[in-house]
Amino acid sequence: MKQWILAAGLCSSMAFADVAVIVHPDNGDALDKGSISRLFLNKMKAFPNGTSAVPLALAEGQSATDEFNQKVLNKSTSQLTAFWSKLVFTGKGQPPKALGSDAEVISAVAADPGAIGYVDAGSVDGSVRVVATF
Amino acid sequence: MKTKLAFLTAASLMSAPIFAEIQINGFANLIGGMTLDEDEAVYDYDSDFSFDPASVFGLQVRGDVSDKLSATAQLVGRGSEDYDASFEWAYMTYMVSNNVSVSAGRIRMPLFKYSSSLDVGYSYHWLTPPDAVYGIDFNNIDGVRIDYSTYSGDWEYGAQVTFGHVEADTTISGTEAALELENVMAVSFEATRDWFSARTLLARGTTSAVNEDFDTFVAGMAQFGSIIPSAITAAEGFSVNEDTGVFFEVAVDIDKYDWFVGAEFTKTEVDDAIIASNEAWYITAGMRFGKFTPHITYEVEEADNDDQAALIAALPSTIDTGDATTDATWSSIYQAATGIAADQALDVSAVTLGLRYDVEPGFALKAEVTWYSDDLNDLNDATLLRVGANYTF
Repeated sequence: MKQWILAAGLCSSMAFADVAVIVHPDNGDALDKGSISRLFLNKMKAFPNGTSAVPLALAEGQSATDEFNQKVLNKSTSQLTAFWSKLVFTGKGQPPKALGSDAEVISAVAADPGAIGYVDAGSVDGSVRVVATF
Repeated sequence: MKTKLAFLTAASLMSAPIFAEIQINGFANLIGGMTLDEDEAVYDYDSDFSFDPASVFGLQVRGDVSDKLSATAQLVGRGSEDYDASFEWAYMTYMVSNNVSVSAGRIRMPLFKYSSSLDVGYSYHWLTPPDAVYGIDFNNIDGVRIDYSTYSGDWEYGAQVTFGHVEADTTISGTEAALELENVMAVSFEATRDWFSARTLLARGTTSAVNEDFDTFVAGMAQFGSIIPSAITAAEGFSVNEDTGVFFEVAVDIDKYDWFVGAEFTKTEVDDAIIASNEAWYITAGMRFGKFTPHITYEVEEADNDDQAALIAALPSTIDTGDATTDATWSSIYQAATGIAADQALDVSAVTLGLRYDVEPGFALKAEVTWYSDDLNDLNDATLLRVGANYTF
């Protein structure tokens, strides 16, 4: 019994390390990993519902940043930098604006129906909708 | 003073929303190299260590005029041009829809897989992409490019159509000439799925190259047409005057992150011109161990001068008109033409071993050794050592 509680405790603390991808509560679209990755890599510029997407990243060094880049974008920080340098210097796109903290991402997403961001799953509150957790 | 400061503050506050839409990015490739032997020279390097041949610095300014319209200018300084900065790109892009954009102005011509980021060394593993394929006279075009992108299932597709006009410096048989490509049209297509990507391009344009001495020489050859009918054909076959040029490219890339392998092939043909048919390709592979990326590349470039040799074969080496001056003039024209035709053949290859070290995102250090080999003339063989730093922001 005690072991079970201990194990559950370990699981929930692990869950906190997950990354939650969040959108505005009015955005009811279902998004899979591929779509999220495309939205963040400038390959898809609008949600399935037609709203223009404004992806918001987290600054380097935030716990969710590497997690998201690895799990969802399948890229290391160096690879991502190289990827964006290609797009930037061909005028094809700019990397998403990077905000300093989970709280800033959440308030920005809560304020913009077109926004999509990612934060540590433990930071999520009711002002945003979680579309996926990785 | 106070008023001035207050005024400046007010001005900066007012302008802030406008300037917030301006992005400035830059890149720097500082590349130094030297050949290992006193009498060796390759890719503009010799045995004296130099930064000039491949170092490039650039600054890009992009402004969003509106949601759909942006303006981009790129100021680039190259070591090979004494770092004289010039606007290599200056264009406006209009987003027609989420899938289609139109760019107009001076733009990069998407000839190769790495064309778009050619100057951003940080974006690839080499110090510079293989010269056999990428060593051409021009990379930019004045014109219009339409970009289309879409995806379906796990596949992402892109297509580009480019129209325009190119002016660049080239060489004809070792002498400088002004290259002009008119009515250029290029169509490219690319497909990507996860770790696999492939692309291809087909381009054509009306090609002219002007060099006064060469043109005088060709005109001189043509003057013998009344005595030697094949001299007219040869003169036409030598001159680069509104001849149709065709360029084809195909590239395949597999990138499993821990390792990658890529290959690219190009073919160039200019009908009825001294420019020989050219085929070039490379294959490259590498592995990523954390911050280290060791890699190896084999490249080949071959130019086939059979067409030019056939024109020479149809000419008499000497003529006997009874006029000694005329006969001697023809002899010297024939000799020169034979030399020029022979110059067009090319058969070179190179092996490059390199190491990339990622210091931090946006900054990489690289070192490479290239063994260059000229199968037509062993005297041109060379071993090149290069080191460099790539930075981007």
